[in-house]
Amino acid sequence: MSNQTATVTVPMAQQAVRGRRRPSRLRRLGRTLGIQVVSVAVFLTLWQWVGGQMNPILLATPTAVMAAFIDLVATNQLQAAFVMAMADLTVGFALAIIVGIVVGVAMGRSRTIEQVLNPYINFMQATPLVALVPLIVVWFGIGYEARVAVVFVLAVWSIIINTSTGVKATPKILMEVAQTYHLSTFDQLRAISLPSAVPFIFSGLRIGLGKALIGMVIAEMEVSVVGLGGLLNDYGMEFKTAYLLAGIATASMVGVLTAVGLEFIQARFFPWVHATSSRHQA
Amino acid sequence: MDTIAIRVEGVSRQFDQTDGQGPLLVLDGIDLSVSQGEFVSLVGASGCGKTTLLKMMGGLVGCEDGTITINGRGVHGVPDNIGFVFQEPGLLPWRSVTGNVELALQHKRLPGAKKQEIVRRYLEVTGLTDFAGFPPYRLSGGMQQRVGLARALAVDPSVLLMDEPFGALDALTRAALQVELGRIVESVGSTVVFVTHDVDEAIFLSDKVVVMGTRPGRIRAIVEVPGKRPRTREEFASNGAYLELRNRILRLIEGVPEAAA
Ligand SMILES: Nc1ncnc2c1ncn2[C@@H]1O[C@H](COP(=O)(O)OP(=O)(O)O)[C@@H](O)[C@H]1O
Ligand SMILES: [Mg+2]
Repeated sequence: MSNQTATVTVPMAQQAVRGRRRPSRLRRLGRTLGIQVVSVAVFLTLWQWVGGQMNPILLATPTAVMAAFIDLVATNQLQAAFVMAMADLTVGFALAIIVGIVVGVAMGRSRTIEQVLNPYINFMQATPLVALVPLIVVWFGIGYEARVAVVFVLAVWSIIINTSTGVKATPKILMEVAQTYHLSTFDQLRAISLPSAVPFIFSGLRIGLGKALIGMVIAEMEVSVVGLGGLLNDYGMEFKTAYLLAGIATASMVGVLTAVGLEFIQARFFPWVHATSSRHQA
Repeated sequence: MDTIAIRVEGVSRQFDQTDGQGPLLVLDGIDLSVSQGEFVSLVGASGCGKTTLLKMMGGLVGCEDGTITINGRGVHGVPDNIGFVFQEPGLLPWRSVTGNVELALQHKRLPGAKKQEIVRRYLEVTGLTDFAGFPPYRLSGGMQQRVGLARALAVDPSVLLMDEPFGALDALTRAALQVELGRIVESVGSTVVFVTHDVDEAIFLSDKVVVMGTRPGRIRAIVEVPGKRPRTREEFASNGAYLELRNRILRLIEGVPEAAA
């Protein structure tokens, strides 16, 4: 009997949602995409025309940039730089994720730990972290470790802050549920506070990733001249603007791809984040 | 003699106010006893302290003045074998329906297969079997409250505390769930304290209706509901005694003294 009400209500609700949303959303998406394609096409045409009138040192044309890009790939320079850059970025960012989440959870759970660490976190938030690069070189030298350290130091703070905010923001009702069913402190963290902080952690990761990319390029220009940053540095010094722009485009692509990767991980492993947040907005 | 499941004696409760106006007396001298297997509703205007009293019985809000005992034992922290159904469903969106019900058994030292069997039984009881693998956000509000109920039942509670569980539902869903709750409670035989501001719901489901007054929350009257549970809709609609009772309780909530009624 109860099953009957169940099978009737849910599919009907789903149908209603689909029927209402599908056409308008698709049309909106198509319109947005159309405007963006036109915008990029107009921009590239203008750029090609303006670039043709100017000194190629100041501004290379899109076709020249494309040619430089092909040359960089053909000579294997870009691939080598890319691999190096990813090695710096992924290791530094992975360390920042681990430390950021562990420290963030500790701060979110314990008022004392939060009070002890807050001054340093606030200090680091206020410091333009790039200013620490020379100090990192003093401590870690000019090799791989130092580049990883720069990426780490730039990325870790947003992850800590967002994780601790998320853990503290565990809905009161869920804490009461945990209390009602006698969850141990560890289970409360594992089954409730940590998952409930996931949306916050991901916004920390997004901000942290942006900063890690900055750290990666800075480290590859200032710590040791290698990787993508090194490539930019070298071609900039030689005034080979087309190659410089091809390198910049590659750095942007790294940023886009890693950001997309992060969204993919969230959608794949934490589908409820999107489902629940869109429901709240609706 | 009935055995007493819940005894509330001389319970008062005040809260500090954030605007510095001194403490707010929310509950004042509450005395109440609920027999084993009895279904008791608390009704009263919004803000009269129903949730506070229920959470004190469940050990979620501390009891400072007076005593509360459940099955003869004083309540300090959440007692064992208590099921609590909250006003909001309070489900974990990262767990399936099954996972949410399992949460109630997480702390129990039972073999996994036994836990699964318990979960399956209460999904069946609450009509959720076909939705076992669904995430909560794919369910309607009524279905979500069923999950909350299944989770509470999974601990095999001797006392089931429910805080306006159907308050946010549409009238049809609510009516269907009332009938089902009556049937489920009858079959598991637990003692129930049920908070609602819907007088019809209270009468339909209960043996006794406790009417509370506001500011400070006191018990105005305890009204016996005639007839045996679970009641049917037909019986409820056709018997004039229920309508009379409804008017009496509504007058009590409004604060009209019994004699003047
Ligand atoms: N933790 C608390 N701190 C301060 N005031 C509270 C707290 N809990 C409840 N109250 C106050 O107690 C009164 C009764 O609340 P509640 O028990 O939720 O009433 P009801 O469930 O009958 O609507 C309200 O005025 C509410 O603001
Ligand atoms: Mg309430």
